[in-house]
Amino acid sequence: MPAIRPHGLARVLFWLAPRWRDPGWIAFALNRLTGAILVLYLLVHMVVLSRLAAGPSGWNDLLAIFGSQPFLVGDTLLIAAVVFHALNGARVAALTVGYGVRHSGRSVALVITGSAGLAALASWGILFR
Amino acid sequence: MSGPMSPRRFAGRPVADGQTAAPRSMEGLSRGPATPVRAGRLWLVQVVTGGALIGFLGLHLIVQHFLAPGGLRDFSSVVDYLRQPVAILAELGLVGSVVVHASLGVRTFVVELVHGRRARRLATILIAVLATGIVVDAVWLTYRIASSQS
Repeated sequence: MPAIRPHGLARVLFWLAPRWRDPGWIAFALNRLTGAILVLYLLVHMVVLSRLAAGPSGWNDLLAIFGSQPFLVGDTLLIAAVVFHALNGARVAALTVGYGVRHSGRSVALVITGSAGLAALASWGILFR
Repeated sequence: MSGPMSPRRFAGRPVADGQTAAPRSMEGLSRGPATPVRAGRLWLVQVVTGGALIGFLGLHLIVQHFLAPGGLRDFSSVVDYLRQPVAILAELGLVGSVVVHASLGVRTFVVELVHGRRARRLATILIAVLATGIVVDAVWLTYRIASSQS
């Protein structure tokens, strides 16, 4: 059977299509996505923290912005990304030593469910508590 | 013969015609940016820093957000916190592990996109320089904050 080799836009759409994919592929794609988000956040966080060098006026003015509702919603999304990345990283580390190899789909489902649960708990703590 | 157990595949990567499926000896495996032995070591470093990150980041979230009144520390509270030696160790441990972990992750991403040994090496050096810069900046910032008036 010849290999499928789509070109152009079809290639992008083929990559994005979740059909016929192994659950591990979905976890891999989400891990890459959350990793990229966390690296961007790390860079922004370092820039924001540099305001501390400007003294109290440079930092305390920012606290009102950090405590605003849009920022808190962003925090909950960030925590969701962190939790998924951490749980999936633990899953991948377990796979490399032989745990969960035969139950890849179940372990991915467990990671996604666990991430959603922990992110929901964090959202409640940040937004509604 | 095809499939994941085929000798035409090595470490899950399809092998082009004319190449051997697996290295015939361990000679030369430790040289170059993409050899299996080095990649294995870097993977181990990523796993270790990932594990350290769970601890350091958990501690950071608890101390900086859950224990702080209102979830955020004002300037004087940040200064008081960073004057404790244990706090400095915890924060610099977080910076070190997050930067090493993130650098290796970005390197993996770049190595898959960039072709050619020299280009990969250049990308690795650029990432290492950026990572070192971030760590130096974090150490300098911590020193500046800890030595300022609260």
